[in-house]
Amino acid sequence: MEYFSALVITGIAVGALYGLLAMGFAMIYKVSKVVNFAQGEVMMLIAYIAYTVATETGGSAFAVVAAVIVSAIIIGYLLERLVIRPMLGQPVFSIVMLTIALAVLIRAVVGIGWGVDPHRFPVDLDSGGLQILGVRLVASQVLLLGVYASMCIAVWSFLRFSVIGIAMRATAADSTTAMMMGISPSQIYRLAWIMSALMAGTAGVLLAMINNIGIEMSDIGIRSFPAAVMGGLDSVIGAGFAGILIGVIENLAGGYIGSGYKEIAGFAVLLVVLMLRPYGLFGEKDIERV
Amino acid sequence: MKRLTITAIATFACLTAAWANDPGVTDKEIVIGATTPFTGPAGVLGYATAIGSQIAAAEINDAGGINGRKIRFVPEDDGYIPARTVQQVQKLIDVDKIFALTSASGAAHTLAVLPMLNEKGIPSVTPLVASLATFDPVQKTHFGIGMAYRDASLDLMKFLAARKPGLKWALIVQDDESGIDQEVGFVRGAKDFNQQIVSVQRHKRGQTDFSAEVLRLKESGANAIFLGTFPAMQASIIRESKKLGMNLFVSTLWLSHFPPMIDLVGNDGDGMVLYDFVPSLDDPSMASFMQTAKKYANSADIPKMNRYTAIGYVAMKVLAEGMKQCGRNLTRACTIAKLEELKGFKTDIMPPISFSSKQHLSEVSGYPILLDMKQKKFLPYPR
Amino acid sequence: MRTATYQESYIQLTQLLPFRDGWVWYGLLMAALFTLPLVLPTYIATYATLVFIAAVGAIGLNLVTGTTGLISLGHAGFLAIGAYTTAILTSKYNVELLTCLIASGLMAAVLSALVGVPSLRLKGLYLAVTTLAFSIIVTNIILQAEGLTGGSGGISVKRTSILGIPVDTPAAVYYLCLGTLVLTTLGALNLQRSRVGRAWSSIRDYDIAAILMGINLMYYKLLAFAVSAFLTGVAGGLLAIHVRYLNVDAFGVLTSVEALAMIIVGGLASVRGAILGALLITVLPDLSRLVFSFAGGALADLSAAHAQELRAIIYALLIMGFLRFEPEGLAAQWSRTKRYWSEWPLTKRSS
Repeated sequence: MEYFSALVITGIAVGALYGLLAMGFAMIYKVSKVVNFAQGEVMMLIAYIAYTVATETGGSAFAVVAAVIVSAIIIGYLLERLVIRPMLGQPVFSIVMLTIALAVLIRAVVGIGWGVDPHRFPVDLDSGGLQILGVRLVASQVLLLGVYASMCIAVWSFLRFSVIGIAMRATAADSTTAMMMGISPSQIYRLAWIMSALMAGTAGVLLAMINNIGIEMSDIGIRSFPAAVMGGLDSVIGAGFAGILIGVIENLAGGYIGSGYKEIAGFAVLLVVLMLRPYGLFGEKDIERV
Repeated sequence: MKRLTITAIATFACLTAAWANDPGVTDKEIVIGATTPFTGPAGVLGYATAIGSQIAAAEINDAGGINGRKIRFVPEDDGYIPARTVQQVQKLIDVDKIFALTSASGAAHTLAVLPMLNEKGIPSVTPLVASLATFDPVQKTHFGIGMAYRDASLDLMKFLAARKPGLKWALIVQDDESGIDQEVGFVRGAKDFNQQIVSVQRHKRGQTDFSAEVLRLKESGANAIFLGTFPAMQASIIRESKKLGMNLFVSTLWLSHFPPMIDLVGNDGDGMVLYDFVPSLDDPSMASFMQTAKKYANSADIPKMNRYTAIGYVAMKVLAEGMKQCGRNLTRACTIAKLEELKGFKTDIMPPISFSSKQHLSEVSGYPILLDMKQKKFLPYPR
Repeated sequence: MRTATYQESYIQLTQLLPFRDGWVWYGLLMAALFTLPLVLPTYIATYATLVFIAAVGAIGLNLVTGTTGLISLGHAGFLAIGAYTTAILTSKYNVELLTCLIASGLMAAVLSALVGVPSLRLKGLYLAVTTLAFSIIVTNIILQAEGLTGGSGGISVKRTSILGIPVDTPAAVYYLCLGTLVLTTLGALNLQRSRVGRAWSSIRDYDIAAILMGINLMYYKLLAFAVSAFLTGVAGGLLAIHVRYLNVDAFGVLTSVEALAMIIVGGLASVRGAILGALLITVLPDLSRLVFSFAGGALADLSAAHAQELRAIIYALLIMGFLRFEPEGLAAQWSRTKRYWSEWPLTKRSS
């Protein structure tokens, strides 16, 4: 039993990461129907910026947090403004391909700026932590779970109760009508990108602390995409939940069947879910009107 | 049409001075090519290897070249994809007109281009030895310096059985040719030297989270681990094990025998035992090599040097030696013949290198290395 | 300049090349391609072979994603199935190549049902993820089935013969791939102009209307995947013959993404676009190296510490540029250029 619970708990710790990234995917898709395949790379870029700040300031947590927030806002804004906005109105396919090219670009820039070797993140949160059911989660993992949980609650209440959140949902539902009601879709898109970058950046810094920072970090972006789909691409909370689910499933498969089956297990469950619910667990069914 | 084309090609060929010799050899220079991965997970070692070969070429040219001919080294990047290796080698043969090749990336990549190399009789001496697939059966034109992973892990196990007996070993290796080769040798060694293996796991490339794997090996009761994977993953696994309160004895081969590993694994890596046939770059025995390297390498490349630079250097030196012994009458066939006769070729870096017509892989052996975090260095394992 | 562009019979309307100058130009192209390996160095011929293989795969992908509108992120899986089928048949059973290629295609087509059936329920990106899952599962199975496929060590391919003619030189492989490409192009063009192609387009445009018009969605969707998988499987077989050594690494997500890039940059639903896109994307890495070497000698050689990253940046920027300024793809650019020159000097600027 202890083995099982240990697998589940560490699975949740990993899944929180997938969840944060998946929420970013869902957020952007929800408002603009664009899948940002550069999510993993954006995460990596912000993490590297935080890494430089941390090394310069000798591991000051405050500086790191500030760096993440500021760079996420700037990067989210810039990406939306310079890259996506000019492409609005073009076929969605092309925009998605653009994000893929963007991913390659960001990865190369990071390679030039920081080199490709892996490094340890200077902020050491390996001590302390919690003991849950015999499994020790270090401080950075507990922080990750905390951030994830608060993000979920924050996003949910934001979308439900705040005026801007409702505006976002309106834009997602029908952007033309929203425009007529005085909502500026371009501002909403910008907000979505910034929020997505924030979620990605936080995830990135935490991942760097738990693991290490290296150019291969961005691979986790593509691996979170199935989580977003499983939860329902237009449900942000659903994506977050699906991330945790996939993390747990992967760990259980790895622990009981074998390491080689981790990846497949996640995808197999995804397929089953999609067969039962074609729009993801919490996705909204696309009602096509004739 | 066909006759015209043949005449045109023949005329053109007659006009080139190299008509009489093998391609890649003129009065003044010899063209040597290489394809290694510059990017991707293998980029760290591929690029460093190319730097090493370039340093050797520069050093040889400075000393007058090979019987008066200077080496022109043409490295290419194949991104660790076999289709691209084929492409690049074809380009090196057709466009750059190479005489010989140092490396052609990994085993799968080399296997993809070997038919081409064998057909044209192009000699190749590679330092990137992983599995025995390219040396057994012996390929006419292909030579390698280094050790196959399985021989290395077998030798390592022999050492461990003597110095650290009675441990319960778990293995985590990467699920690809190099990882599995390491596993094979270690498992064989455990059987030969009566050591216990309680868990064997293979993980996918690019994996970052190892909580399931480490939990599994904890369940199996292991107290020692052999890692057959890349440095970043090794560091992750070690940290994960510490998180779970385990104090494993860690052992691995030369993949993490490079300075960034020290920073990466931190204090968790104290007492780690590695195995390599190349000393650390900051070992006193490597001082003269480092001096040479710093003299001939670009300043931007120096931080990228690691043990692969050393073996890239040796590969070029070995190839040059084979070519030198042919004198001015330099042909590919002669180079291959001379390489096969090479015995006890000394370098400051590795044990002496020998080939024979039945053995195209140099027989070297390595030694264990200890990672001492108090000094933050790799040191030879104390006797 | 062509002036008499009147089509005077129904037959002319359905012809691929209704006008004589079309025959002349394509004839010249075919002649040039035919003599290429005899005149140019082998290196260029092997390059061209890669482009042909990519084009066959791209045309296959285009049929399902461009024409029918079913997004496939997992075509690398079909490529892998085709490649490994050929590899196993040639190296273990010494089967002749034509049979191998057809077997590769059929194997992929049959397995495409695993993706085709979900496509009846799933739409858009949900389908895309299913195809992604499929390709990852395929590569995992190939890795596990070590006895048959060589697992992570890979498998080597023997070049046997095709209908008695030995295929053992780069030139022979070149002609094989060129022939396959020509057949594929003709086949795809014909399919697109036929009933099947029209049904596919209607599924992409408005599938509810298609059902109302009496088009059997299930049949045509499965057919789209099957045909597309067949072509990609054949491309995989050709790849195996060309490279002679296979490894699962070559069939990951990145390959699927590259294939999508080919058809998006080339222009969706256009066979010409698929070929142009395949050409561009295959050539692009070396193109960026050329740009590099013109930019300055110091940048061009090994001493550039970040040569690889800079090349990746140029690659990405070029693709982004294409998409930004030519979102309809190269095929649209082609049509526009053609129209410009056929109306010159009386071309009117129209948006």
